[in-house]
Amino acid sequence: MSGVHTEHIEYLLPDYVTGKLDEPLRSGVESHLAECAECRVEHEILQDAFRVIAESTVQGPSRAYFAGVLPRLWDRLEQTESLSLFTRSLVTRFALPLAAGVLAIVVLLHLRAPSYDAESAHNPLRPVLQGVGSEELAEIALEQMHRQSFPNSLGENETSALLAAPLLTGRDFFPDAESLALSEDPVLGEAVSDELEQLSDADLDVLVARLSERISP
Amino acid sequence: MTDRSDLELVQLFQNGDESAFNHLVLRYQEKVYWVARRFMNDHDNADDVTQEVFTRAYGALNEFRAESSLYTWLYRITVNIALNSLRRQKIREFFRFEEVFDSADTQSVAPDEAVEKQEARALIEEAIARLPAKQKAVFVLRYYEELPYGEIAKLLKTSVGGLKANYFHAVKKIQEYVRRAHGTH
Repeated sequence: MSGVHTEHIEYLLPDYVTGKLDEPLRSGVESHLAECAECRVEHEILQDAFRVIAESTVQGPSRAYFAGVLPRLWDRLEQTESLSLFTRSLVTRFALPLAAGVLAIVVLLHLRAPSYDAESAHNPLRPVLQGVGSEELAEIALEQMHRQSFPNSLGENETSALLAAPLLTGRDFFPDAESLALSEDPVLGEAVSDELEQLSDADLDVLVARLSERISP
Repeated sequence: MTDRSDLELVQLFQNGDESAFNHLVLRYQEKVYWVARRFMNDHDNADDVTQEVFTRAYGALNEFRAESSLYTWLYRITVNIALNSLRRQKIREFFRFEEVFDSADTQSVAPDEAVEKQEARALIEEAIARLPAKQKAVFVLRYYEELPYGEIAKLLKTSVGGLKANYFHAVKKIQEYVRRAHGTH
């Protein structure tokens, strides 16, 4: 062990004291301790420390605790699964159809050929939306959605709601991972559901206006 | 099914037999709990970590490709979750008002020797809890789990160099904490 710094020997002492140091290091530490008083003091301190640590063994839980781990785990997994289904349902029921609805409006722009005046040049959606009621708009979105392969069938009211909810609140669903995580909050989830249920025709009119603003260049 | 190997149980689970997961949980719940318990200060936190470990394992078991043993895989998940939990705990403690609790009732009925042992145990747990995260992790993994330094380095995503120093300083700090506590009493 000659040539090895004392500080390096120190770092071997915990393993030496607990009997985890293999040869030839163990013999090396032993001979170093025989000639180094400083390390002998350190050795005694560590011996004392490990003795105290070993004596203070933490008491484990009862067998009953371990018998309950699995049932509680399955409760938790079921809860997680139902939240995850709720999230997936929101994405498939709201986010995807929202995209389809927007697509429907864009398609409309191409289907009709409005005569552009100064005002319509500023907002190309205006002539398209003029005279188009909210129900009709929802129907168009629904029609477009039928061309997509969505796992859930959706009613007309649901379509209106899912188009309206994010637009009315001025936000999209799940723009990032953080908001996706928030959506797993059952309280927030309930709030979103309530919001959707309370939509009125007036809300849908606002939707048309918002939609128009969003699609305008 | 209890005599099946870990890998056989994993394959059964991957083929849709969820009961295989139950056997894996029963096989490893105590080990996972004890690793968690060494990291966390109390039973409740260790229980939270244990539940989280198996919840994550359930979600990720289909991706398990047996590149390591199942226990090593669970072990890594446990250490990661425990360390994250400690970080969160530290943040919560930062914003928490000082909590004052009185354990005199439980102590007054216990015999003197039991009280001393209980106090010593609490003191050591307190000392370990106060260690910096890395020293604490190295101490738990080396002393309680008896892992080789190479394995500890892999788990903590660090190099082997310095781990022995971390271990040494951790033990010294525990000893120093206990010494000061006794000195002030």
